[in-house]
Amino acid sequence: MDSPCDCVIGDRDLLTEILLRLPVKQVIQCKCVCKKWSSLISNTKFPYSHTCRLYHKYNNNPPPTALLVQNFADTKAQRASIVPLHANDNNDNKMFFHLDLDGCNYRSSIMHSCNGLLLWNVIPTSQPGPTSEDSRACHFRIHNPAMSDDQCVYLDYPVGDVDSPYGDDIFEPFELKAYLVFEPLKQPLSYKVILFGQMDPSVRYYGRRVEFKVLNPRIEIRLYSSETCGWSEVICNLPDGLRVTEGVYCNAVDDSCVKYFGECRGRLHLILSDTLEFDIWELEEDYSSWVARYRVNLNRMHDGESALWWNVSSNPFSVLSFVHRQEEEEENSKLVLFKNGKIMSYSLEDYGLRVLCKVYRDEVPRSIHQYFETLLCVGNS
Amino acid sequence: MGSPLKKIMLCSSEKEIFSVEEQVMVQHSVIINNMIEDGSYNYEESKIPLDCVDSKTLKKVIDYCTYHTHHHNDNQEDLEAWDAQFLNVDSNGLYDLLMAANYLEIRNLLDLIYRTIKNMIKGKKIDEIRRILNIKDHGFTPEEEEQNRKEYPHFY
Repeated sequence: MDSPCDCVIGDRDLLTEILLRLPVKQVIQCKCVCKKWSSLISNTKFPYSHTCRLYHKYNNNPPPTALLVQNFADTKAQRASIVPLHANDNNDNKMFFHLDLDGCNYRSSIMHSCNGLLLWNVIPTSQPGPTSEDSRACHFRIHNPAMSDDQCVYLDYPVGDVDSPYGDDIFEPFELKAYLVFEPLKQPLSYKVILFGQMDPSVRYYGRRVEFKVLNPRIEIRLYSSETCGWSEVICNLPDGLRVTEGVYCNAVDDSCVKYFGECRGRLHLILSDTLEFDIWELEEDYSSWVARYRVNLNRMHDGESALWWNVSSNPFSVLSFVHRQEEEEENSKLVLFKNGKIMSYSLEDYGLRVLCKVYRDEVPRSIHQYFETLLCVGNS
Repeated sequence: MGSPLKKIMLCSSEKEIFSVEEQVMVQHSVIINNMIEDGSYNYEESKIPLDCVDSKTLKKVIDYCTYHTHHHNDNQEDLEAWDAQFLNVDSNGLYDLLMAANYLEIRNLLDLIYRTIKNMIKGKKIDEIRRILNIKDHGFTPEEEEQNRKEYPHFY
């Protein structure tokens, strides 16, 4: 007769219930425990159930587990670090992952992170030659860093209208913003990419006469849908002279007062400050108004070690991220701050400051994204 | 819902009869709740046979349901402390409880045990998981196993 242990582990339903409760990283590891576990986890239903469980637990807005930090000054620009936000999964506190970029012929940056998937902007460092058939022009890649790279999706830039004065090779790869929309609970899985791009005018021929058109660069919006497999143009009136790289305009307050503008768990946050006091504003769910959620005074801070050493008359911290938590959750809401090459989390509840990782350079990392682990992928494998 | 004073009879695999307040079982076990609701339980004559649950496990299950019925207003910490003490059994005892909770569909006990087993393997390496769960035959060919170990040495 089977032992009770064999009965439990041998029962697919019971085993599934246990594995569904494990974090993403360990689920992936558990594929190697035995063949049966491997087939159970590889079943297409499993990643979906695992994600549903997590979303259900957190009221459809699970909190980020880590920050993705990419520093453009880093010589290995393809590299991004995953910096865990919680003390308990603190092994070495800093993990790198690479986007497999077929050699070093590309420069890539993370454009956006959405519910576990990342959107990269990949730009060749040299013009693709006629001999290298594999090399691609500028494109996007979408992948899940928790899963293997062969499930990466390649997406070419939209092609412009040949008759347009802006030419058919339209978007400036360094002058664009792109966002990924991925809803994990919607089946079948699909995604959208929204592109805000700057187009530079080119000199073109019109009819028989050569006509020089002098046009200003302008911003256009394109939408890619995986369901239709195509880009479409989004028509809207954008003010002249708008640039994609521009920051936040907020009631004519001084630009330098805007410390942070970002999204967490479906809510937009704006942090304004000109001193050590921060006001954290949150956009109402119906987008009707901004509400001051927290006032944070960085004078109230302890690091458990020595005294802190900053000039109180100015604020030495850069705000990298704001992680919003509900009251009933175990963790507190946190600001992620940067100073002197250290990425730190500051709890709004107990005013504790904790170093998350050191980046060994004083420069503020420029590309910061909140990251959620998921087993879901949009690529085929 | 039955009246709180009514008793029902449960019969273990060893044919030992346990008399329990109906309310206690109805509140926790989906199966028993259904039996009472659809009238298939006869208070005069019936006993519910639980052929796959031995007396020791059935007693534990009844303890759990009774405690949680009478202490559901206690604070969360006290309940968790009681649960931890309750599950302080050897692994075979734990798996027996899981099978019984699964059979009787006692959802909060199931969840408690799933979490406990998850915590036994959380953060563990593959070799440890195999040992804890007594998995002797992993089903991989020697080549596959070697390949995995080579590719993911940090898993083992």
